[in-house]
Amino acid sequence: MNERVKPQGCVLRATAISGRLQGLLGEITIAQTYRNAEPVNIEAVFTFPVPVEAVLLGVDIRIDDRVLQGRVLPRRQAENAYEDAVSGGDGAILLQEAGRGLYTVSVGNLLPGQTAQLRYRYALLSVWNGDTLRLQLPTTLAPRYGDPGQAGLQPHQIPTVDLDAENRFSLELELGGPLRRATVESPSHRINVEVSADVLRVRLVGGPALMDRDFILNIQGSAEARAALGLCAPDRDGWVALASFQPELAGHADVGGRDCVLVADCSGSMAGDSIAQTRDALLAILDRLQPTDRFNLIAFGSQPRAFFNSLHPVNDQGLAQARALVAGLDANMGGTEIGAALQLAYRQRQGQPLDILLMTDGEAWNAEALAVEARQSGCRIFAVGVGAAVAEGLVRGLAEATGGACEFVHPNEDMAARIVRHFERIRAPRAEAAMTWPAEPTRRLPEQVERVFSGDTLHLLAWLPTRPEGPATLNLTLNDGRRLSQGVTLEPWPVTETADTLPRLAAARRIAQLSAEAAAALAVDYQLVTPHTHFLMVDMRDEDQKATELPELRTVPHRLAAGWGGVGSVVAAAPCMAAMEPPAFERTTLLRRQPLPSSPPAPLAAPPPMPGAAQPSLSGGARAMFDTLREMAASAPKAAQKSLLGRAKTLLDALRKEAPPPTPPSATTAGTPADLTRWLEANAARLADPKQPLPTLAELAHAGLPGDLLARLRERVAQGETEDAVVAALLHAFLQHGPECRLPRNASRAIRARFRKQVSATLAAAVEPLVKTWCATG
Amino acid sequence: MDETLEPTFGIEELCGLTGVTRRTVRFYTQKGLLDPPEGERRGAYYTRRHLEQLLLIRKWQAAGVSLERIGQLLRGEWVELPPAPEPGTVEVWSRVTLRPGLEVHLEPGRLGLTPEETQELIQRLVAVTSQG
Repeated sequence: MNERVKPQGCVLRATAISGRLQGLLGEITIAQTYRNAEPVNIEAVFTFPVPVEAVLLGVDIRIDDRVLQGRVLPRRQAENAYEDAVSGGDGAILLQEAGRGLYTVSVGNLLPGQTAQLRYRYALLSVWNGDTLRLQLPTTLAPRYGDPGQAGLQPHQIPTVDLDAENRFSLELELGGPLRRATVESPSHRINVEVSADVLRVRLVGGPALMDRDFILNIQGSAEARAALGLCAPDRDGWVALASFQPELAGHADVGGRDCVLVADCSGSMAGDSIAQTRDALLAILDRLQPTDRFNLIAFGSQPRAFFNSLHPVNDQGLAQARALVAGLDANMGGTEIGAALQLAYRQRQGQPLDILLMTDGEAWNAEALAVEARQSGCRIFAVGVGAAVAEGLVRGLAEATGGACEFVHPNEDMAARIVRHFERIRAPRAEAAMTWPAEPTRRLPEQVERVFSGDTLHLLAWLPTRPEGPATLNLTLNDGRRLSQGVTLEPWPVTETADTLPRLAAARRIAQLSAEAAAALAVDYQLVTPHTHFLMVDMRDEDQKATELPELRTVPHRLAAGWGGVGSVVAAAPCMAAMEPPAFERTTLLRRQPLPSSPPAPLAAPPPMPGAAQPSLSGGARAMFDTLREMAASAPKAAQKSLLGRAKTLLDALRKEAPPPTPPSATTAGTPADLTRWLEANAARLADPKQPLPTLAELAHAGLPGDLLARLRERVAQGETEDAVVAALLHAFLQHGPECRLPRNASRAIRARFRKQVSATLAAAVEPLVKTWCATG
Repeated sequence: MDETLEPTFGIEELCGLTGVTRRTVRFYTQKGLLDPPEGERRGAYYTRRHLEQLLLIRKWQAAGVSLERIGQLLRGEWVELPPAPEPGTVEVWSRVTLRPGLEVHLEPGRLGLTPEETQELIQRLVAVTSQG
């Protein structure tokens, strides 16, 4: 019964994600294949993530060759029926919502040799942010902080994480309608894009990929592709209508005088890529504060820490202090007590509205309690979700609860651009929105439009007594007196067979506002899986086919999220945008994982390399190390008792002789050339981009440049050289004399280009020997 | 009912008495924490022993003990726990860099290693990691 004894192969054999996006509306299908290759009867259980906004439309089930039907029932009824079926020896499948964007499927009494195929069909209503529509499909659940039980998960729903889980997914997406001429790129995976006359197809290069990170597709559309959308469909006795607008409110004067608290997650799970991105983001924010603003900075882990006692004016001294503090932030503050940090942030409020910019990976379980508190605070939260497998529900929930907004940034994406967008939102004029429908609606959603941000899609729903004739119009009154108006014709849903999609999507959006009883009734009526309802399929078997024993539990583990807690880095070579011209081509975006050790994986005697290790989350070498460490830990010899102190002392002597000398902890003033190399490798994408500024000396100081060298370089700046030129000279010399730096060619080329353009021969001659000496001695 | 017979419970009754859902009762059974019910399939029933086990599991769970550990305790595997360090306890942890970016933190006293064994362990680790 020990769950760690692995049965042969994983019970989850395959995951296939497919989907079609037709403008803002899309349908995503996740197909999972479970196979029982064991001699015993089993129950397979898997808690898996889906996009938070996805609405489950249906589950198609096939067991071996039989197609089976299930339906949505009130929670208690479904649970009892499932238990009855399992204890009675019948086959049964139960699908429960385990939280926002989280589902648990149980495949009960899967008999030896049986295969169950489940296809979950979801509707997804996306949004444009500026010219980009971001499709984010989660594939794994990173370990989360806190108690899943308190977040409402039952013991069997609690996901497990395994470093070795070999789950893979295939992907096939189709972009049609207004998106067929869009430009697409993926910061997370190598993709293959095939263009035909009316559809654009996206697949993964190299076949199924490991489920260790979100799949992200950034879809850039022209203004035409982003035109307002109006749809209507019959719904019970009346009609339901959806109008989606992307209002542009540009051209206002910013008055400043705002209060802003920056809250940075420094918990252990942020280590590596995420904390580096957070530091970048904070620096970008500090650069954009206005002299009339006030700010504070809170870093948190197990405890929150505010850098100033209260809101601090934005002046040179305050900014300099804050920059120094940001440079010293690390993912070393322990747990993820977001609640305590936000409460400290809410308390900063002094007399006027307060905006909070929160940077986190959201890996905590108590998302719903946090959203309730946030709503009561009266502050707006602008959240930035970071990491390769971010917990979307928490980040989105906080933004939605407070009338703020959220952005998600993959380690390969540019953080600064997202921060700028958030700032535009924060500084946007307050707008009052009024919606006119062709007839007086019996219900609207949202009842009151509370937030309008320039360039962000606004979805408005209305239930109408009769079929709408004529346009729906959005009227905006800005607080600078301007009035804007935009209209859209409500087209009838084009395909009769799927005409219930819109009513069900609309019903799903109402659930959160209803009492438990009303929500359960609505969810059963519209066949929606919600916290109050489950999907159930029971396969009644003939007496001789019934399972005789209780099934053994097989929980499908998740692959540890790439880059989680600093386990390797996900930062890849700079993704390059490509024009969408036929014929098909292979994207050059290379997702190269940086292996834990700096040399290429070498074959080892002990553990075999993974099969098909196209994108291992750990390189072969690192994996071998883990395995060896595990073995060693298991077989550590037991020694005779000695005095602790005596043994420790001898040990230290022994270590001094035998082990390589420990490297001193890296401080901001005494880094090694290797530190700087690592920093450059981690920032390769930025270095390769000629539009991005070169790193500053202060940043490089944090990255490992020693104090004495820094002082010599600063002298050059004081003598009239530009900082950019000095940095270019430094980087150029460092690439020649420093440790081998595995920068992609476009990054090193960009550095050489800047060196040629900006650095005089005198400066180059002055800087090179300094760098050479440091590299030789450091 | 004959008083010499032990009282028995149906699954609903057991759930009502303990506040545990049917699914969780079954989950504990699958995990080997709770004995399987007596009787077959839908005729299954539970006894006082099951009730006691279930209440014990709940109690330990509420105290923050992991399911794995509860399993060990129930099976009588009293694996000795290292004493929780009191405030003021001094422990000497060694931090050994195997190569830049890879460290081992160890406390040989707790590991029960002699210096020679520790030295050998480090050497083996260095050997393994330098190939990786």
